[in-house]
Amino acid sequence: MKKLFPALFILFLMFSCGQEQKSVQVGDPDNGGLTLPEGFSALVVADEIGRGRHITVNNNGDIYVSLAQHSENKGIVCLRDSSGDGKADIIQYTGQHTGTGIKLHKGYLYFGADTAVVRYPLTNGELVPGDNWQMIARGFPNERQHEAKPMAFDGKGNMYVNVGAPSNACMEQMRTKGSPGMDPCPLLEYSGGTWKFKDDVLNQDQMVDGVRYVTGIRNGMANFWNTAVDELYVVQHGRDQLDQFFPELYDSKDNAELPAEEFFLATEGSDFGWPYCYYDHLKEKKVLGPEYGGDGETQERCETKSDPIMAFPGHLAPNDLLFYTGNMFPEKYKNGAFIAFHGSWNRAPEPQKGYFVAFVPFDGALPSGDWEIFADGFAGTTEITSTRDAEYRPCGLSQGPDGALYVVDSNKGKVWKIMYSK
Amino acid sequence: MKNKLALIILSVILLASCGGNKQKNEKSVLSQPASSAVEKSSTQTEHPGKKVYNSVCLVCHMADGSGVPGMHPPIIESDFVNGDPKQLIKIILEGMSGEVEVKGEIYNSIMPAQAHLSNQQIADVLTYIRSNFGNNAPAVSPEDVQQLRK
Ligand code: HEC
Repeated sequence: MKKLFPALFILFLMFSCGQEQKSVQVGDPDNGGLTLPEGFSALVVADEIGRGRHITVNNNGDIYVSLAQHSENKGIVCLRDSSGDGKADIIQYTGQHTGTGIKLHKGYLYFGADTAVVRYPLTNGELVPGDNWQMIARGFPNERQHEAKPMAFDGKGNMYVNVGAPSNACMEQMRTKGSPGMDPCPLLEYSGGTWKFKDDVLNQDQMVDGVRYVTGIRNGMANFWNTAVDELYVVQHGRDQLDQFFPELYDSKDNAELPAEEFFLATEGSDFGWPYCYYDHLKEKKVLGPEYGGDGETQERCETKSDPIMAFPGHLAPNDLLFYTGNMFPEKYKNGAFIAFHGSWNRAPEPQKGYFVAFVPFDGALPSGDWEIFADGFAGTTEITSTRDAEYRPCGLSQGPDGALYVVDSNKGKVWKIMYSK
Repeated sequence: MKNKLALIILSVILLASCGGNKQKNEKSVLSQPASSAVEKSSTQTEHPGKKVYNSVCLVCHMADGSGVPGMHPPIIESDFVNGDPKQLIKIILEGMSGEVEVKGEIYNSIMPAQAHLSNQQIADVLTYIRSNFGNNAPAVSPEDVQQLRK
Protein backbone atom coordinates (compact mmCIF):
# COMPACT_ATOMS: atom_id res chain seq x y z
CA MET A 1 0.00 0.00 0.00
CA LYS A 2 2.81 2.36 0.89
CA LYS A 3 4.48 1.62 -2.44
CA LEU A 4 1.46 2.82 -4.36
CA PHE A 5 2.09 6.46 -3.61
CA PRO A 6 5.47 6.82 -5.33
CA ALA A 7 4.09 4.84 -8.26
CA LEU A 8 1.17 7.22 -8.53
CA PHE A 9 3.53 10.15 -8.23
CA ILE A 10 5.64 8.90 -11.09
CA LEU A 11 2.55 8.33 -13.17
CA PHE A 12 1.44 11.86 -12.42
CA LEU A 13 4.82 13.23 -13.43
CA MET A 14 4.73 11.31 -16.70
CA PHE A 15 1.25 12.52 -17.41
CA SER A 16 1.95 16.17 -16.68
CA CYS A 17 5.16 15.94 -18.64
CA GLY A 18 3.26 14.70 -21.68
CA GLN A 19 0.74 17.48 -21.22
CA GLU A 20 3.43 20.05 -21.05
CA GLN A 21 5.06 18.98 -24.26
CA LYS A 22 1.75 19.22 -26.00
CA SER A 23 1.01 22.72 -24.76
CA VAL A 24 4.42 24.17 -25.66
CA GLN A 25 3.31 25.29 -29.11
CA VAL A 26 1.10 28.34 -29.03
CA GLY A 27 0.09 30.67 -31.80
CA ASP A 28 1.82 34.03 -32.11
CA PRO A 29 -0.15 36.86 -30.44
CA ASP A 30 -1.13 38.21 -33.87
CA ASN A 31 -1.38 34.75 -35.48
CA GLY A 32 1.40 35.81 -37.82
CA GLY A 33 -0.97 38.38 -39.36
CA LEU A 34 -3.58 35.79 -40.35
CA THR A 35 -7.29 35.77 -39.63
CA LEU A 36 -8.63 32.30 -38.86
CA PRO A 37 -11.86 30.66 -37.72
CA GLU A 38 -12.68 30.41 -34.00
CA GLY A 39 -10.35 28.08 -32.11
CA PHE A 40 -7.50 28.25 -34.65
CA SER A 41 -4.17 29.96 -34.14
CA ALA A 42 -1.01 30.35 -36.21
CA LEU A 43 2.66 30.81 -35.55
CA VAL A 44 5.39 31.91 -37.93
CA VAL A 45 7.74 28.96 -38.46
CA ALA A 46 10.25 30.88 -40.57
CA ASP A 47 10.48 34.11 -42.52
CA GLU A 48 12.37 35.40 -45.53
CA ILE A 49 13.66 32.03 -46.65
CA GLY A 50 13.33 32.92 -50.36
CA ARG A 51 10.46 32.82 -52.82
CA GLY A 52 8.67 29.72 -51.55
CA ARG A 53 6.59 27.58 -53.87
CA HIS A 54 5.42 24.29 -52.35
CA ILE A 55 6.07 22.68 -48.97
CA THR A 56 6.14 19.20 -47.46
CA VAL A 57 6.52 18.04 -43.84
CA ASN A 58 8.17 14.80 -42.74
CA ASN A 59 6.90 12.48 -39.97
CA ASN A 60 9.53 13.88 -37.62
CA GLY A 61 8.41 17.45 -38.27
CA ASP A 62 11.24 18.41 -40.66
CA ILE A 63 10.00 20.82 -43.32
CA TYR A 64 11.08 21.17 -46.96
CA VAL A 65 10.21 24.14 -49.15
CA SER A 66 10.84 24.44 -52.89
CA LEU A 67 12.13 27.64 -54.47
CA ALA A 68 11.57 28.55 -58.11
CA GLN A 69 14.63 30.78 -58.07
CA HIS A 70 17.95 30.55 -56.33
CA SER A 71 21.27 32.04 -57.39
CA GLU A 72 23.11 28.72 -56.90
CA ASN A 73 20.15 26.54 -57.92
CA LYS A 74 19.79 25.43 -54.32
CA GLY A 75 16.06 25.18 -54.64
CA ILE A 76 15.38 23.14 -51.48
CA VAL A 77 15.10 24.85 -48.11
CA CYS A 78 15.30 22.43 -45.17
CA LEU A 79 13.84 23.60 -41.86
CA ARG A 80 14.00 21.95 -38.45
CA ASP A 81 12.57 22.95 -35.10
CA SER A 82 14.93 21.43 -32.54
CA SER A 83 13.47 23.15 -29.49
CA GLY A 84 9.86 22.09 -29.93
CA ASP A 85 8.27 25.54 -30.01
CA GLY A 86 7.18 25.16 -33.62
CA LYS A 87 9.68 27.73 -34.94
CA ALA A 88 12.45 26.54 -37.21
CA ASP A 89 15.86 27.09 -35.64
CA ILE A 90 17.90 25.18 -38.24
CA ILE A 91 17.57 26.37 -41.84
CA GLN A 92 19.72 24.92 -44.63
CA TYR A 93 19.74 25.26 -48.41
CA THR A 94 20.52 22.36 -50.68
CA GLY A 95 19.83 20.72 -54.03
CA GLN A 96 20.83 21.37 -57.62
CA HIS A 97 17.40 22.19 -59.04
CA THR A 98 14.83 24.91 -58.68
CA GLY A 99 11.13 24.42 -59.23
CA THR A 100 7.78 23.95 -57.52
CA GLY A 101 6.81 20.32 -56.82
CA ILE A 102 8.17 18.89 -53.56
CA LYS A 103 6.95 15.76 -51.80
CA LEU A 104 8.30 13.09 -49.47
CA HIS A 105 7.71 9.62 -50.82
CA LYS A 106 9.29 6.22 -50.16
CA GLY A 107 12.17 7.72 -48.21
CA TYR A 108 13.06 10.22 -50.91
CA LEU A 109 12.41 13.89 -51.43
CA TYR A 110 10.79 14.14 -54.87
CA PHE A 111 11.34 17.47 -56.57
CA GLY A 112 9.51 18.88 -59.58
CA ALA A 113 12.11 20.89 -61.41
CA ASP A 114 10.42 22.61 -64.31
CA THR A 115 11.63 20.19 -66.99
CA ALA A 116 12.02 17.01 -64.92
CA VAL A 117 11.00 15.20 -61.77
CA VAL A 118 14.00 14.10 -59.69
CA ARG A 119 14.44 12.66 -56.21
CA TYR A 120 16.99 13.23 -53.47
CA PRO A 121 17.78 10.45 -50.96
CA LEU A 122 16.98 11.06 -47.28
CA THR A 123 18.83 9.45 -44.40
CA ASN A 124 16.86 8.69 -41.27
CA GLY A 125 17.32 11.43 -38.69
CA GLU A 126 19.24 13.73 -41.02
CA LEU A 127 17.65 16.95 -42.08
CA VAL A 128 19.50 17.65 -45.33
CA PRO A 129 18.97 15.14 -48.16
CA GLY A 130 21.95 13.70 -50.02
CA ASP A 131 23.29 15.31 -53.18
CA ASN A 132 23.14 12.16 -55.33
CA TRP A 133 19.78 12.78 -56.93
CA GLN A 134 18.13 10.45 -59.43
CA MET A 135 16.14 11.25 -62.55
CA ILE A 136 12.57 9.91 -62.38
CA ALA A 137 10.79 11.61 -65.28
CA ARG A 138 12.14 13.94 -67.94
CA GLY A 139 11.44 15.40 -71.34
CA PHE A 140 8.96 18.03 -70.21
CA PRO A 141 8.88 21.17 -72.29
CA ASN A 142 9.86 24.41 -70.58
CA GLU A 143 8.31 27.23 -72.41
CA ARG A 144 8.43 29.69 -69.56
CA GLN A 145 4.72 29.67 -68.87
CA HIS A 146 2.80 27.37 -66.55
CA GLU A 147 6.03 25.43 -66.15
CA ALA A 148 5.47 24.20 -62.56
CA LYS A 149 5.64 20.40 -62.19
CA PRO A 150 3.97 19.38 -58.95
CA MET A 151 3.44 15.65 -58.38
CA ALA A 152 0.77 13.58 -56.63
CA PHE A 153 1.24 9.96 -55.47
CA ASP A 154 -1.51 7.35 -55.27
CA GLY A 155 0.31 4.99 -52.93
CA LYS A 156 -0.07 2.26 -55.52
CA GLY A 157 3.16 2.85 -57.36
CA ASN A 158 2.13 5.78 -59.53
CA MET A 159 3.04 9.43 -59.77
CA TYR A 160 0.84 12.08 -61.45
CA VAL A 161 2.53 15.18 -62.83
CA ASN A 162 0.86 18.40 -63.89
CA VAL A 163 2.06 19.50 -67.33
CA GLY A 164 0.65 23.00 -67.81
CA ALA A 165 0.05 24.26 -71.33
CA PRO A 166 2.54 26.97 -72.37
CA SER A 167 -0.30 29.10 -73.63
CA ASN A 168 -3.36 31.13 -72.71
CA ALA A 169 -5.99 29.73 -75.09
CA CYS A 170 -3.88 28.05 -77.79
CA MET A 171 -3.88 31.07 -80.08
CA GLU A 172 -1.69 30.75 -83.17
CA GLN A 173 0.26 33.78 -82.03
CA MET A 174 0.80 33.95 -78.31
CA ARG A 175 -1.61 36.29 -76.52
CA THR A 176 -2.18 38.41 -79.61
CA LYS A 177 -5.46 40.09 -80.37
CA GLY A 178 -7.13 38.68 -83.47
CA SER A 179 -5.04 35.52 -83.62
CA PRO A 180 -7.31 32.46 -84.02
CA GLY A 181 -7.31 29.42 -81.74
CA MET A 182 -5.54 26.38 -83.23
CA ASP A 183 -8.00 23.58 -83.89
CA PRO A 184 -7.10 20.94 -82.93
CA CYS A 185 -4.70 22.45 -80.41
CA PRO A 186 -1.33 20.70 -80.93
CA LEU A 187 -0.15 21.62 -77.43
CA LEU A 188 -2.52 19.00 -75.97
CA GLU A 189 -0.26 16.23 -77.25
CA TYR A 190 2.42 17.05 -74.70
CA SER A 191 0.80 19.47 -72.23
CA GLY A 192 -2.48 20.78 -70.92
CA GLY A 193 -3.14 17.79 -68.67
CA THR A 194 -1.80 15.35 -66.10
CA TRP A 195 0.72 12.63 -67.02
CA LYS A 196 1.05 9.37 -65.12
CA PHE A 197 4.41 7.71 -64.40
CA LYS A 198 5.72 4.88 -62.22
CA ASP A 199 6.80 6.37 -58.92
CA ASP A 200 10.19 4.66 -58.65
CA VAL A 201 11.35 3.78 -62.13
CA LEU A 202 14.32 5.89 -63.19
CA ASN A 203 14.72 7.89 -66.41
CA GLN A 204 11.15 7.76 -67.68
CA ASP A 205 10.52 9.99 -70.69
CA GLN A 206 7.23 11.88 -70.80
CA MET A 207 6.37 11.00 -74.40
CA VAL A 208 7.66 7.40 -74.24
CA ASP A 209 6.88 6.14 -70.74
CA GLY A 210 4.37 8.67 -69.49
CA VAL A 211 0.63 8.20 -70.00
CA ARG A 212 -1.73 11.10 -70.49
CA TYR A 213 -4.14 10.51 -67.58
CA VAL A 214 -6.49 13.48 -68.04
CA THR A 215 -6.50 16.29 -70.59
CA GLY A 216 -7.97 19.71 -71.27
CA ILE A 217 -6.45 21.37 -68.19
CA ARG A 218 -4.71 24.66 -68.89
CA ASN A 219 -2.55 24.61 -65.78
CA GLY A 220 -3.36 22.39 -62.82
CA MET A 221 -0.56 23.06 -60.41
CA ALA A 222 -2.89 22.37 -57.47
CA ASN A 223 -3.06 18.56 -57.64
CA PHE A 224 -3.57 15.94 -54.94
CA TRP A 225 -4.44 12.29 -54.61
CA ASN A 226 -7.40 11.97 -52.24
CA THR A 227 -6.86 8.67 -50.41
CA ALA A 228 -10.40 8.71 -48.97
CA VAL A 229 -11.82 7.90 -52.40
CA ASP A 230 -8.64 7.01 -54.31
CA GLU A 231 -9.00 9.67 -56.98
CA LEU A 232 -6.89 12.50 -58.36
CA TYR A 233 -8.16 16.07 -57.88
CA VAL A 234 -6.88 19.13 -59.72
CA VAL A 235 -7.70 22.83 -59.50
CA GLN A 236 -7.15 24.73 -62.74
CA HIS A 237 -5.86 28.22 -63.48
CA GLY A 238 -8.42 29.43 -66.00
CA ARG A 239 -7.60 31.47 -69.08
CA ASP A 240 -6.86 35.21 -69.06
CA GLN A 241 -7.61 38.37 -71.02
CA LEU A 242 -11.12 37.73 -72.43
CA ASP A 243 -11.82 41.48 -72.55
CA GLN A 244 -8.51 42.37 -74.18
CA PHE A 245 -8.84 40.02 -77.10
CA PHE A 246 -12.63 40.17 -77.43
CA PRO A 247 -13.76 43.63 -76.28
CA GLU A 248 -16.93 43.30 -78.35
CA LEU A 249 -18.03 40.35 -76.15
CA TYR A 250 -16.54 41.12 -72.72
CA ASP A 251 -15.74 44.23 -70.71
CA SER A 252 -13.16 44.46 -67.94
CA LYS A 253 -15.78 43.62 -65.30
CA ASP A 254 -16.75 40.42 -67.16
CA ASN A 255 -13.08 39.54 -67.46
CA ALA A 256 -12.48 40.03 -63.73
CA GLU A 257 -15.05 37.31 -62.92
CA LEU A 258 -14.65 35.02 -65.93
CA PRO A 259 -13.85 32.31 -66.46
CA ALA A 260 -14.19 30.31 -63.25
CA GLU A 261 -11.21 28.66 -61.62
CA GLU A 262 -12.36 25.03 -61.86
CA PHE A 263 -12.00 22.24 -59.29
CA PHE A 264 -11.84 18.85 -61.04
CA LEU A 265 -12.41 15.30 -59.94
CA ALA A 266 -9.83 13.99 -62.40
CA THR A 267 -10.97 10.46 -63.13
CA GLU A 268 -8.82 8.72 -65.72
CA GLY A 269 -9.61 9.70 -69.30
CA SER A 270 -11.48 12.91 -68.45
CA ASP A 271 -11.34 15.89 -70.80
CA PHE A 272 -12.05 19.21 -69.15
CA GLY A 273 -12.15 21.23 -72.36
CA TRP A 274 -9.17 23.64 -72.43
CA PRO A 275 -8.50 25.46 -74.76
CA TYR A 276 -11.83 25.12 -76.55
CA CYS A 277 -14.07 25.70 -73.56
CA TYR A 278 -14.23 27.53 -70.27
CA TYR A 279 -16.65 27.30 -67.37
CA ASP A 280 -18.95 30.25 -66.67
CA HIS A 281 -19.90 29.91 -62.99
CA LEU A 282 -22.58 32.60 -63.30
CA LYS A 283 -24.36 30.72 -66.10
CA GLU A 284 -23.29 27.39 -64.61
CA LYS A 285 -22.16 25.85 -67.86
CA LYS A 286 -19.17 25.16 -70.05
CA VAL A 287 -19.18 27.50 -73.02
CA LEU A 288 -17.18 27.68 -76.24
CA GLY A 289 -14.18 30.01 -76.00
CA PRO A 290 -14.20 33.10 -78.24
CA GLU A 291 -11.02 31.93 -80.04
CA TYR A 292 -13.14 29.01 -81.30
CA GLY A 293 -16.13 31.05 -82.37
CA GLY A 294 -17.89 31.22 -78.99
CA ASP A 295 -20.03 34.17 -77.99
CA GLY A 296 -20.19 33.52 -74.26
CA GLU A 297 -23.42 31.48 -74.64
CA THR A 298 -22.86 28.80 -77.28
CA GLN A 299 -21.80 25.43 -75.90
CA GLU A 300 -21.31 23.31 -79.03
CA ARG A 301 -18.55 20.72 -78.35
CA CYS A 302 -18.28 21.92 -74.73
CA GLU A 303 -21.53 20.17 -73.83
CA THR A 304 -19.67 16.87 -73.68
CA LYS A 305 -16.63 18.06 -71.72
CA SER A 306 -16.39 17.21 -68.02
CA ASP A 307 -17.73 19.88 -65.67
CA PRO A 308 -15.95 20.99 -62.52
CA ILE A 309 -17.20 19.77 -59.11
CA MET A 310 -16.88 23.35 -57.87
CA ALA A 311 -16.17 26.72 -59.46
CA PHE A 312 -14.44 29.75 -57.97
CA PRO A 313 -14.37 33.37 -59.22
CA GLY A 314 -11.89 34.14 -61.99
CA HIS A 315 -8.10 34.52 -61.72
CA LEU A 316 -7.77 33.68 -57.99
CA ALA A 317 -4.86 31.39 -58.97
CA PRO A 318 -5.20 28.05 -57.13
CA ASN A 319 -1.57 27.11 -56.49
CA ASP A 320 -1.91 24.15 -54.14
CA LEU A 321 -4.47 21.60 -52.95
CA LEU A 322 -4.57 19.28 -49.95
CA PHE A 323 -7.16 16.87 -48.56
CA TYR A 324 -7.09 16.95 -44.78
CA THR A 325 -6.63 13.61 -43.03
CA GLY A 326 -5.37 14.81 -39.64
CA ASN A 327 -6.98 14.57 -36.22
CA MET A 328 -6.16 18.01 -34.89
CA PHE A 329 -8.87 20.02 -36.69
CA PRO A 330 -12.61 19.67 -35.93
CA GLU A 331 -14.64 16.93 -37.59
CA LYS A 332 -15.97 19.14 -40.40
CA TYR A 333 -12.48 19.44 -41.87
CA LYS A 334 -11.87 15.69 -42.11
CA ASN A 335 -11.36 14.64 -45.73
CA GLY A 336 -12.22 18.16 -46.88
CA ALA A 337 -10.04 20.18 -49.25
CA PHE A 338 -7.80 23.16 -48.54
CA ILE A 339 -6.81 25.29 -51.52
CA ALA A 340 -4.10 27.98 -51.52
CA PHE A 341 -5.21 30.83 -53.77
CA HIS A 342 -2.11 32.77 -54.76
CA GLY A 343 -4.18 35.85 -55.75
CA SER A 344 -4.93 37.45 -59.08
CA TRP A 345 -3.21 39.75 -61.56
CA ASN A 346 -5.58 39.43 -64.50
CA ARG A 347 -8.46 41.18 -62.70
CA ALA A 348 -6.79 44.54 -63.49
CA PRO A 349 -8.04 47.23 -63.86
CA GLU A 350 -10.68 45.90 -61.44
CA PRO A 351 -9.46 45.25 -57.87
CA GLN A 352 -7.43 42.06 -57.40
CA LYS A 353 -8.76 39.09 -55.40
CA GLY A 354 -7.63 35.85 -53.80
CA TYR A 355 -4.56 35.76 -51.52
CA PHE A 356 -6.25 33.35 -49.07
CA VAL A 357 -6.56 29.69 -48.18
CA ALA A 358 -10.04 28.33 -48.85
CA PHE A 359 -11.76 25.26 -47.44
CA VAL A 360 -14.22 22.99 -49.26
CA PRO A 361 -16.13 20.43 -47.12
CA PHE A 362 -16.39 16.96 -48.69
CA ASP A 363 -18.63 13.96 -48.29
CA GLY A 364 -17.05 11.12 -50.23
CA ALA A 365 -15.90 12.12 -53.68
CA LEU A 366 -17.89 15.37 -53.89
CA PRO A 367 -18.16 18.65 -51.99
CA SER A 368 -20.86 18.61 -49.32
CA GLY A 369 -21.24 22.37 -49.06
CA ASP A 370 -20.02 25.69 -50.42
CA TRP A 371 -16.42 26.85 -50.15
CA GLU A 372 -15.35 29.33 -47.50
CA ILE A 373 -12.28 31.40 -46.74
CA PHE A 374 -10.28 29.55 -44.08
CA ALA A 375 -7.15 31.67 -43.64
CA ASP A 376 -7.02 35.29 -44.77
CA GLY A 377 -4.94 38.39 -44.13
CA PHE A 378 -1.87 37.28 -46.13
CA ALA A 379 -2.01 40.42 -48.25
CA GLY A 380 -1.95 42.68 -45.19
CA THR A 381 -4.49 44.96 -46.87
CA THR A 382 -7.95 44.55 -48.34
CA GLU A 383 -7.45 46.91 -51.24
CA ILE A 384 -5.23 45.32 -53.83
CA THR A 385 -5.00 47.15 -57.14
CA SER A 386 -1.61 45.85 -58.21
CA THR A 387 -0.55 42.33 -57.31
CA ARG A 388 2.51 43.75 -55.57
CA ASP A 389 0.27 45.51 -53.05
CA ALA A 390 -0.14 42.11 -51.37
CA GLU A 391 2.57 41.63 -48.76
CA TYR A 392 2.35 37.82 -48.74
CA ARG A 393 0.83 35.34 -51.19
CA PRO A 394 -0.07 31.80 -50.07
CA CYS A 395 1.40 29.34 -52.58
CA GLY A 396 1.91 25.93 -50.94
CA LEU A 397 0.21 23.74 -48.32
CA SER A 398 1.19 20.71 -46.26
CA GLN A 399 -0.16 18.75 -43.33
CA GLY A 400 2.15 18.14 -40.37
CA PRO A 401 2.38 14.84 -38.45
CA ASP A 402 0.38 16.44 -35.60
CA GLY A 403 -2.40 17.46 -38.02
CA ALA A 404 -1.43 21.14 -38.22
CA LEU A 405 -1.64 22.91 -41.60
CA TYR A 406 1.50 24.56 -42.99
CA VAL A 407 1.32 27.40 -45.51
CA VAL A 408 4.21 28.94 -47.44
CA ASP A 409 4.29 32.39 -49.06
CA SER A 410 5.94 33.15 -52.39
CA ASN A 411 6.80 36.82 -51.92
CA LYS A 412 9.30 36.65 -49.10
CA GLY A 413 9.19 33.05 -48.00
CA LYS A 414 7.18 33.16 -44.81
CA VAL A 415 5.98 29.84 -43.39
CA TRP A 416 2.99 29.57 -41.04
CA LYS A 417 1.82 26.66 -38.92
CA ILE A 418 -1.93 26.75 -38.34
CA MET A 419 -3.17 24.84 -35.31
CA TYR A 420 -6.44 24.13 -33.56
CA SER A 421 -7.16 23.77 -29.89
CA LYS A 422 -10.51 23.66 -28.11
CA MET B 1 -19.18 115.68 -51.33
CA LYS B 2 -15.69 115.29 -50.08
CA ASN B 3 -16.99 112.83 -47.57
CA LYS B 4 -18.94 110.98 -50.20
CA LEU B 5 -15.91 110.75 -52.48
CA ALA B 6 -13.76 109.56 -49.61
CA LEU B 7 -16.36 106.96 -48.85
CA ILE B 8 -16.47 105.75 -52.45
CA ILE B 9 -12.70 105.65 -52.75
CA LEU B 10 -12.46 103.86 -49.46
CA SER B 11 -15.04 101.30 -50.45
CA VAL B 12 -13.35 100.76 -53.83
CA ILE B 13 -10.05 100.21 -52.08
CA LEU B 14 -11.72 97.92 -49.59
CA LEU B 15 -13.45 95.97 -52.30
CA ALA B 16 -10.34 95.65 -54.35
CA SER B 17 -8.19 94.61 -51.44
CA CYS B 18 -10.95 92.39 -50.26
CA GLY B 19 -11.13 90.74 -53.64
CA GLY B 20 -7.40 90.49 -53.70
CA ASN B 21 -7.37 88.93 -50.33
CA LYS B 22 -10.05 86.55 -51.30
CA GLN B 23 -8.06 85.41 -54.29
CA LYS B 24 -5.01 85.00 -52.16
CA ASN B 25 -6.96 83.11 -49.59
CA GLU B 26 -8.46 80.86 -52.18
CA LYS B 27 -5.05 80.04 -53.50
CA SER B 28 -3.57 79.14 -50.16
CA VAL B 29 -6.64 77.31 -48.93
CA LEU B 30 -7.00 75.46 -52.18
CA SER B 31 -3.34 74.61 -52.50
CA GLN B 32 -4.10 70.94 -51.99
CA PRO B 33 -7.22 70.58 -54.11
CA ALA B 34 -5.53 72.75 -56.72
CA SER B 35 -3.18 69.90 -57.60
CA SER B 36 -6.17 67.65 -58.18
CA ALA B 37 -7.56 70.36 -60.40
CA VAL B 38 -4.29 70.22 -62.29
CA GLU B 39 -4.60 66.45 -62.51
CA LYS B 40 -8.11 66.84 -63.74
CA SER B 41 -7.11 69.22 -66.47
CA SER B 42 -4.24 66.94 -67.45
CA THR B 43 -6.60 63.96 -67.79
CA GLN B 44 -8.60 66.10 -70.13
CA THR B 45 -5.53 66.43 -72.27
CA GLU B 46 -4.24 63.01 -71.25
CA HIS B 47 -1.01 61.75 -72.72
CA PRO B 48 -2.02 59.64 -75.74
CA GLY B 49 0.40 56.94 -74.57
CA LYS B 50 -1.56 56.47 -71.35
CA LYS B 51 -4.52 55.18 -73.31
CA VAL B 52 -2.32 52.61 -75.05
CA TYR B 53 -0.72 51.65 -71.74
CA ASN B 54 -4.07 51.16 -70.02
CA SER B 55 -5.57 49.09 -72.80
CA VAL B 56 -2.54 46.93 -73.65
CA CYS B 57 0.18 46.93 -71.00
CA LEU B 58 -1.64 47.54 -67.71
CA VAL B 59 -3.00 44.01 -67.46
CA CYS B 60 0.52 42.63 -67.02
CA HIS B 61 2.58 45.56 -65.75
CA MET B 62 -0.21 46.92 -63.49
CA ALA B 63 -1.66 50.43 -63.13
CA ASP B 64 1.28 51.64 -61.05
CA GLY B 65 3.86 49.88 -63.25
CA SER B 66 4.90 47.56 -60.42
CA GLY B 67 4.38 44.34 -62.41
CA VAL B 68 3.64 40.93 -60.87
CA PRO B 69 6.24 39.33 -58.56
CA GLY B 70 8.10 36.47 -60.25
CA MET B 71 6.10 36.89 -63.45
CA HIS B 72 5.94 40.34 -65.04
CA PRO B 73 8.80 42.75 -64.24
CA PRO B 74 8.12 46.31 -63.08
CA ILE B 75 8.62 49.17 -65.48
CA ILE B 76 9.19 51.58 -62.59
CA GLU B 77 12.73 53.05 -62.71
CA SER B 78 13.66 50.32 -65.17
CA ASP B 79 16.97 50.36 -67.07
CA PHE B 80 15.16 48.88 -70.06
CA VAL B 81 12.70 51.76 -70.11
CA ASN B 82 15.28 54.51 -69.57
CA GLY B 83 17.98 52.92 -71.69
CA ASP B 84 18.61 52.51 -75.42
CA PRO B 85 15.36 53.35 -77.23
CA LYS B 86 16.18 50.79 -79.97
CA GLN B 87 16.24 47.95 -77.46
CA LEU B 88 13.02 49.22 -75.91
CA ILE B 89 11.22 49.47 -79.26
CA LYS B 90 12.37 45.92 -80.06
CA ILE B 91 10.82 44.63 -76.83
CA ILE B 92 7.48 45.97 -78.02
CA LEU B 93 7.84 44.85 -81.67
CA GLU B 94 9.33 41.42 -81.03
CA GLY B 95 8.37 40.65 -77.45
CA MET B 96 10.83 39.40 -74.88
CA SER B 97 11.64 36.07 -73.27
CA GLY B 98 14.26 34.34 -71.19
CA GLU B 99 16.04 35.26 -68.03
CA VAL B 100 16.20 38.95 -67.36
CA GLU B 101 17.09 40.99 -64.28
CA VAL B 102 14.97 44.01 -63.48
CA LYS B 103 15.51 46.03 -60.32
CA GLY B 104 17.51 43.26 -58.71
CA GLU B 105 15.01 40.49 -59.35
CA ILE B 106 15.22 37.71 -61.93
CA TYR B 107 12.33 37.08 -64.30
CA ASN B 108 12.15 34.23 -66.75
CA SER B 109 8.91 34.59 -68.59
CA ILE B 110 7.50 35.69 -71.94
CA MET B 111 6.18 39.01 -73.10
CA PRO B 112 4.13 38.66 -76.29
CA ALA B 113 5.09 40.93 -79.21
CA GLN B 114 2.87 43.99 -79.58
CA ALA B 115 3.64 44.59 -83.27
CA HIS B 116 -0.07 45.00 -84.02
CA LEU B 117 0.18 48.48 -82.50
CA SER B 118 0.85 51.33 -84.95
CA ASN B 119 4.15 53.22 -85.03
CA GLN B 120 2.35 56.16 -83.47
CA GLN B 121 0.85 54.05 -80.68
CA ILE B 122 4.22 52.47 -79.85
CA ALA B 123 5.96 55.87 -79.89
CA ASP B 124 3.22 57.26 -77.65
CA VAL B 125 3.28 54.46 -75.11
CA LEU B 126 7.07 54.42 -74.88
CA THR B 127 7.24 58.20 -74.57
CA TYR B 128 4.61 57.92 -71.85
CA ILE B 129 6.39 55.24 -69.81
CA ARG B 130 9.76 56.99 -70.28
CA SER B 131 8.36 60.11 -68.59
CA ASN B 132 6.25 58.39 -65.90
CA PHE B 133 6.63 55.58 -63.33
CA GLY B 134 9.79 57.22 -61.96
CA ASN B 135 11.48 57.16 -65.38
CA ASN B 136 13.07 60.09 -67.12
CA ALA B 137 14.22 59.61 -70.69
CA PRO B 138 13.66 61.40 -74.01
CA ALA B 139 10.64 60.80 -76.22
CA VAL B 140 10.43 58.10 -78.89
CA SER B 141 9.18 59.05 -82.36
CA PRO B 142 7.06 57.00 -84.80
CA GLU B 143 10.02 57.20 -87.22
CA ASP B 144 12.26 55.50 -84.64
CA VAL B 145 9.72 52.68 -84.50
CA GLN B 146 9.35 52.41 -88.28
CA GLN B 147 13.12 52.03 -88.67
CA LEU B 148 13.05 48.86 -86.60
CA ARG B 149 10.04 47.23 -88.17
CA LYS B 150 10.98 44.28 -90.30
C1 HEC C 1 0.98 39.31 -71.32
C2 HEC C 1 1.70 40.15 -70.41
C3 HEC C 1 2.43 41.38 -70.92
C4 HEC C 1 1.94 42.43 -71.67
C5 HEC C 1 0.54 42.58 -72.23
C6 HEC C 1 3.02 43.38 -71.78
N1 HEC C 1 4.14 42.92 -71.16
FE1 HEC C 1 5.94 43.86 -71.02
N2 HEC C 1 6.75 42.21 -70.19
C7 HEC C 1 6.06 41.06 -69.83
C8 HEC C 1 7.00 40.06 -69.38
C9 HEC C 1 6.65 38.67 -68.89
C10 HEC C 1 8.29 40.64 -69.49
C11 HEC C 1 9.63 39.95 -69.14
C12 HEC C 1 9.99 38.91 -70.18
C13 HEC C 1 11.13 38.01 -69.75
O1 HEC C 1 11.05 37.43 -68.67
O2 HEC C 1 12.10 37.87 -70.51
C14 HEC C 1 8.09 42.00 -69.98
C15 HEC C 1 9.11 42.93 -70.18
C16 HEC C 1 8.91 44.26 -70.48
C17 HEC C 1 9.93 45.28 -70.48
C18 HEC C 1 11.39 45.08 -70.16
C19 HEC C 1 11.64 44.80 -68.70
C20 HEC C 1 11.17 45.92 -67.79
O3 HEC C 1 10.33 45.63 -66.94
O4 HEC C 1 11.60 47.05 -67.94
C21 HEC C 1 9.31 46.45 -70.84
C22 HEC C 1 9.95 47.81 -70.95
C23 HEC C 1 7.93 46.15 -71.09
N3 HEC C 1 7.71 44.82 -70.86
C24 HEC C 1 7.00 47.09 -71.51
C25 HEC C 1 5.71 46.76 -71.94
C26 HEC C 1 4.81 47.67 -72.59
C27 HEC C 1 5.10 49.13 -72.86
C28 HEC C 1 3.69 46.96 -72.88
C29 HEC C 1 2.45 47.44 -73.62
C30 HEC C 1 2.66 47.92 -74.95
C31 HEC C 1 3.86 45.62 -72.37
N4 HEC C 1 5.11 45.53 -71.83
C32 HEC C 1 2.91 44.59 -72.44
C33 HEC C 1 4.70 40.88 -69.92
C34 HEC C 1 3.83 41.69 -70.62
